[in-house]
Formats: sequence, structure tokens, C-alpha cells
Amino acid sequence: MTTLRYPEVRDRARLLEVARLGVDVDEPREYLTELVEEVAARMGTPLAMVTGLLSDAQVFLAGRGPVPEWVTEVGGTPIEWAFCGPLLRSEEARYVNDFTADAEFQDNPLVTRDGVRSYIGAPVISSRGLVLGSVCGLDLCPREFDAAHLQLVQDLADETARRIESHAFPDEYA
Amino acid sequence: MARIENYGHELPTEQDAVKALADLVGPQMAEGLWSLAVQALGMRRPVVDPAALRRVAEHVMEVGELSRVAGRSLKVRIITYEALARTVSS
Repeated sequence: MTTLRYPEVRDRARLLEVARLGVDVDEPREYLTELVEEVAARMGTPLAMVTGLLSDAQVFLAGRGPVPEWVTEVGGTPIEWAFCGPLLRSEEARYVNDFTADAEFQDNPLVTRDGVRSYIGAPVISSRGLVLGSVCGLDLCPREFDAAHLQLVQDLADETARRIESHAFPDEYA
Repeated sequence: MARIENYGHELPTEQDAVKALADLVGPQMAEGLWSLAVQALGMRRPVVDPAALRRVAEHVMEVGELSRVAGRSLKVRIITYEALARTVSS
């Protein structure tokens, strides 16, 4: 296994939080569907998803758009392919206008194989302050995003965190 | 006053704990998990003190949770490899 670019992904407290909230569990999450639809609609991106960052993989908790069939089968990708790695460190929404011009991601298989060109994403952070994953929009062409887009995707990520926690512990949020 | 019998109000012993675990994962796995958990916490068997038993129980829980996360990660990586290999060979 290759050296992790973001070793924070294996932080024990973070992974226990991932497990506590069931982020790693492979199950349908209809309560997140409208959020990915809103990302796609408001960002104008054909692809939108909610990701969970595990120890060596990212998993897709919800998604929409022309996802390659094999990605649907897998339900995620190796962690090295995750565009949201930087969010573990910055804990702030960010975007990439054109992956082919980005030194960190230009060789990413999702770029070279599957043609993903641009991205906007925000961290999903639990109430205990730990990054669970991300909400993101992806496009197959270069895109410009602005501060309003960043705020919007962060708001959606915050709502995603609330829904994940209330689904895991409904009595606490009743 | 009604007598309370068999309602689990006695302190579980280490033997109880390992047996309960064995009922779920088999005797070898249970012994191994319990012993490794005790060792990881810097303790020795038999674990008798309630606070110590609780620490071991919580450690076993954490190991289970982290194992589940690691297992799912591994599964994703394996299926990715298989899917990509099919793509190359087709």
C-alpha cells in the first residue's frame, strides 16, 4: 500500500466517530438524496455525492449523475483517489477549476480514466468536530466557482452532518 | 418482596465475558480477542476488577468498530482492483 498523502485519514478518534455514526455501513441513505440533488442543481454539476472517508477507502453515501458502472459496483474508491483528502487538513470548502492543471490530482484515475475535470466540495464535520467525509459536485469540464458556491456547499455539508447524526441517534435529535 | 433471580444483576466474570464472545465468534477468536485486548491495555488475566473488566469491554468494542471500518475499506480496494482488471482485459 502506498504512503498516505493525508495520514490524518487514519486518526483513531476520527475512525471511531465514523464507526459510531455508521458512515462505513453499506446501506441506502434516502435521507441524503435531496441534498445531492440540490448540490447538482445549485452548482450546475452533473455529478454530486456525499462521501465517507474510511481508513483506506472513500465510500459513497449518496450520489447522482453519470457515475461509471464499476464505481457503482464498488460503492467507493481507494482513498488515494479521493478529491476530498485536503478537506481533512483544512476543514474548509474548496474547489478545483481544472484537475488537468492541478499538480496534486492531474494523475488521479478519476481524471485520466473517467474524465472528471472540476470539483467543489466541503467537509462533513460531526458535532464532535471530526471530519466524516464530504459533500461535493463534480463536472466533466473546467468550471469557475465563487465564494457563494463555497458557502452553499458548506451549508449543505453541515446539513448532511446533522442528518447523519440524527439518523444514527434519532432519540437525541427528536 | 419478590425475589430477583437470573436478571443479570451479578457482576460478569472474565469467564462469562469470554464465553459470551465465543458464542458469537467462536472460542478461538474469543480467547484471542480477549487476551490481546487485555494485553493491549497493559493488564494481565484474569481480569477481576469491575473497572478493569469495563475497560477491556470497551477496548473490544473499539477493536470491533475499527475492524469494521478497515474491512469495508479493504473490500472497496479489492473490488476496485477486480473491476479495473476486467476493464483492462476486455
